[in-house]
Formats: sequence, C-alpha cells, structure tokens
Amino acid sequence: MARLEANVRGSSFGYLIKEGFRNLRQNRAISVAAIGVLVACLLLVGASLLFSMNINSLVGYFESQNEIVIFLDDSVSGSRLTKLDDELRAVGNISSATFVSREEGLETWMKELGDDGTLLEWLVEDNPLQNSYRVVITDLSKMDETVDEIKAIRGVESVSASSEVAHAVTGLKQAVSLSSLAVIGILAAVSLCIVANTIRITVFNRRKEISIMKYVGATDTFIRLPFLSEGVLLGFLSATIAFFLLWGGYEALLYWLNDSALEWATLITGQLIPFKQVALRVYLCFLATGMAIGGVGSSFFVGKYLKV
Amino acid sequence: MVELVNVSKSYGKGPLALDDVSLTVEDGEFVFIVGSSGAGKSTLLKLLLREEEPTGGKVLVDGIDLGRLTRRRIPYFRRSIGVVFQDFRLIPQMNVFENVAFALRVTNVSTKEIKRRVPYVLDLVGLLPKARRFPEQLSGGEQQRVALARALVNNPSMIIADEPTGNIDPAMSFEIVELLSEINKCGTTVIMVTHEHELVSRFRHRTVVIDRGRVVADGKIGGKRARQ
Repeated sequence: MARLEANVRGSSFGYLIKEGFRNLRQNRAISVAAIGVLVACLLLVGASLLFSMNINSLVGYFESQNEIVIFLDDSVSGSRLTKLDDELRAVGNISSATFVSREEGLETWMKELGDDGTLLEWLVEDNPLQNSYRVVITDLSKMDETVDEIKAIRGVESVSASSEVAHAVTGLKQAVSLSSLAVIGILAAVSLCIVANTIRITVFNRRKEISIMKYVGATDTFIRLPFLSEGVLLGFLSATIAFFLLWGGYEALLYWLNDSALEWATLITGQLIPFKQVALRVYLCFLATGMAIGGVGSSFFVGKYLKV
Repeated sequence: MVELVNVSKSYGKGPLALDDVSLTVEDGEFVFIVGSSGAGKSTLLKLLLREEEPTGGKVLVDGIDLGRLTRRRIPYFRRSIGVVFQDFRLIPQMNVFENVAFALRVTNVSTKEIKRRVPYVLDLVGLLPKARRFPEQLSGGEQQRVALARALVNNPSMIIADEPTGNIDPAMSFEIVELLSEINKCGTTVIMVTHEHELVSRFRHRTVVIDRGRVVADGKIGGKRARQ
C-alpha cells in the first residue's frame, strides 16, 4: 500500500520538453507539413491584421482631414458669440473647433487666390462672408447625430458636411474589421485541425510506448505532457518563422510602394505603419495564437485519441 | 493477496467473458492460469490490472477494491504490479538499459536511483553484459528477460505474465519460467497465463483452468488439491 502513496516528483520538466522535441524530430515529415500550414495560416492572419491596422491608420488620417464648416447667423456677436462657443464645445464627438471670423475668411480666400487675390479687395468694405467654425469630428460614424446637435444651437445658420465621405470611410472600417475577424476565425479552425492531425499521427506512432507507460504506472498527465509540449513547440516555431516572413514581405511591399510612380501609392505610403512600430505586438500575437492553437489543439485531441 | 469474489464480466451485450469467478491468490504464490483462447484468461488479467471493471462482483488486490479505485489512483496502483507480455513490448529505439530505465523514468524516479536499480535487475536476469545492445540484437528469450527486468525494476509485489513464453523456443521458455520461479521464491507473487502444458506439468505450481468464463479446475497438476 505504501507504493500507492508514492509522490510524483516535480523534476521531470526537462524530460518532458525533450520528449516534445524528440516527437517533432521523429515525425519530421508531418512536423514540417504542420509547421508549413501553421506558418501559412499565421501569415494570412498577420497580413489581415496589418491590413486592418493600416486601414485604421488611413481612416484616422482621413478623419483628421475631414472638417465640417459651421456658418453663423450675422446677428451673432459679442456675448451671444461667447455663449454659442460654449454650447458648441459642449457637443461631444468634436476633437477641435476653430473660430474663423468673416475677415479672416476673406483673408484666407484672398491668399488662396494668390496674385488674383487683389480682385477681391473691393469686398473688404462690404464683406459678404459669414463668421464660421471649422470643426474636426472625432468619430465619423456618429457624424449625422453630431451635425444635428450643432444645427440645434441657436445662431447656427447652416452646416456644411460631406456625409458621403464619412459614411464611406466608416463603412470601409467596419468591413475591414469584420472580414479580418472572419479570416482569423477560419484560419484558427484550419490550424486546429492540422495540429489535431499531427498529434493523432504522433499518438499512433507511439502507441507501443504509450501502452508500456500505462502498464508501468505513468500518470495521465505524464503521458499527455509530451504531446502538449510538442503542440506548443509547433506553435512557437511556426510563429517565429511566420513573423520573419511577414516582416520581410511587408518591408518589400513598402519599398515597392515608395519606389512606385503611382500617385495613390505615394499618397498613402506616408500614412502606412512602419513594421518596427508594431513588430512586438505582431510577434506576441503570433506567439499567443500559435502556441495556444498548438497547446489547446494537442491537449484537447490527445485525450480523444489516447485512452489513458 | 488477490481476491476475486463472484466476478462476472461481459462486453456490451455479448456473452459473459467471466461468469461468477471466485479465486484467491495468497501473497508469494505462483499460479498458472490455463485455458483455450477465448476462455476468459485475458479478461481476468485486464481486471487485475484495472484495465477493465467487472460487471458484477469484486476484485481486491492487497485489500484495495479495484472497482472503487479512482482514475487518478490507477497509475499508482499499477506501480505495485509488474507486467510481462507475449510480444515483449520493448522500444526498438532504446537499448536494454534504456528500456528498463524507461519504467522508472516515466514514474518520476531520479537518475541517481535509475543508475543504481537498473544494473541490479539486469544482473538478476543475466543481461548486464548486454546492457548497451538494442532489442533487435537479442534473441527472443533475451528480449523477454529484458521485459522481465523492466517488470521487476519497480520492485513490484506481484508479477503478471501474459503468455510470456508464447514467442520463444521451448528451451528458452523453461529458462523464463525458471527465472520467474526464482523471483517467486524471493516473495513476489506470480500469476502467469499460459497454454503450454509442458511447462505446467514440469513446474508443478498451482494451476487454475478457465473454460468459457468459469474456473473449472484449481490445484496442482497431478496433486491432491485439484478439483474438477
């Protein structure tokens, strides 16, 4: 009975890791295939992640460029103008609001015309422009509500906002986020199947050892852990390879866009995120995804294929 | 001590593999279990190793009711039993020493202890000079001796041998049973399944005959304890 009370020593960690490596080595062909598929999946996930990040950055850029102009009633001045200013700033979803007086407006207009600006000099005496505000919206998807709120302020005559652009930009942002999620979901499922298959083959190849382990009294955990470490190792190797491939691919794309004579390319390259800025985040994301898929896949399926 | 009390076992809706079997094996006994194939011998061993649970009755080993053993405790229970199979079940990529050490390594025994215990059991089965050989470099009898060393290395209180001589020539078979008898003399209980009558009659240990799931004879062949 004393034998039944034998305690498990905790010093087998190194042995179990070594077993994981041995499994990988012994099933080279299937390991390489599994790593290949996992790398491909992670690359697609990474590409979709980078695409989504860059779209967000571009949308952010467009958002900051997308001003709305509020034209004020001519009667608003003095204390009424101060009150209107307070009310305007109390409206949410506004990142900045700059007051442009009718004089400043005319001055800007004249500057924009350059030499032809002198043609407008006669307007200085009888300025037809209105006092206005240039407002930058924080979240373009709520633009319509914000414009309605502004219109309700007393003294606001009209609001000029290009809601089509706002709708297009926010629609694009949502579509990209949704499609990225779908791509990641599908690829995670594919990766899980691949890892499960690899583990099934390993279990089959090692069925003799496993049966001996059972008969000599190895615990379930001890039998399962090498498969778990094999899965995690598969994930780790795949994540590392995928990370460097993605880095290389992204830099090559940026180089090509920079070099390109295309007008749209030069327009957006300034707004694209440099890889180094997101490298750590991407690598951690790859490691977490790869190792979780490897670990979860193997520990879930090893129980299924291994009757211990 | 091993006790089977009115044990029955059936698989699914099939016929009874064991039918109301009651059997006691005292500590330090050597018992042959004989019977034709399909008689229920393997089922009996599976019940003793807690690979299967009886459909009815109780199986007790050293006072432990195996039916009440939790899943978590099963491995610890198995460490008190050494098992030997007909097909040796050695790992071809490991040499003799590593095959024996494997049983200790997977039960968390320290390397220092492994280095002390493995040569001792290899010496016991007469294979210490061949410790670095691989299974394919050994004869069938030698391979079975490695398997026996692996079964012994955890210092079990009982050895269960499932037709250990089934794959080896007669001369070697005698040698293996001789070795098991020596181990038995040191106090280890041995339960050996066989269908080789020559061995049974030569070694004259207690013999239990199973036929169609029932114990039909129990005693020494030619001895007075036999009952029909």
